[in-house]
Amino acid sequence: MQNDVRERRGVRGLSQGDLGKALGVSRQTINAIETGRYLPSLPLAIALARYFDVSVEAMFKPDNGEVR
Amino acid sequence: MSDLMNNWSVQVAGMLVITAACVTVFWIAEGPEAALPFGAVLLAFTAIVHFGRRRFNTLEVMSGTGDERVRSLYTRAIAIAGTVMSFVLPAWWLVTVAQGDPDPQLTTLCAIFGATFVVATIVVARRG
Repeated sequence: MQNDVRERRGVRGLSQGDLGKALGVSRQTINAIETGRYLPSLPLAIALARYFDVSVEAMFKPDNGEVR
Repeated sequence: MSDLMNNWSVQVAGMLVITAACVTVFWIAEGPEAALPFGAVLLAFTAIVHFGRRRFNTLEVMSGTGDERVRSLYTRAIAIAGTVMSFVLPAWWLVTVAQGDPDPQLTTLCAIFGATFVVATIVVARRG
């Protein structure tokens, strides 16, 4: 799964810690999401998308367009 | 229940209760010479995990308390440990059987492990 959390966070000038605090998760979790090491749960993915005012599908895309 | 388990103060309290119980047992069985060092080790472990989890990701995962990612990693680590023990315990028991002297404690441990796994699977399957 690919995501553009890092880019969107950068646009707003937020640190990983700032974003984590806003969403109630740790900086390490934000880092793990951005680097693709961790797939957020549905509630967290929705919270992330809502924070940036986009849909979950706009933020998270399957690799190579593959949909399971 | 899961909120309680994810509370660091409950976790520390639990560790202190375990430490107290272990120290008591060792004190009764082997006296303070054995009990106190063992208690010190348990207290040190509790302190290292509790204070270290704010700084070190591994300790945070080991504590099992934190956000969804930490809890997920903790669950995976426990599952790996459980899977390893699911091989080690029966294998060790079988070695004692092959030696002609089945270890009753290992037999009991294997039975408890198996029963716990079955019950846990039933609970998780019904909830999921």
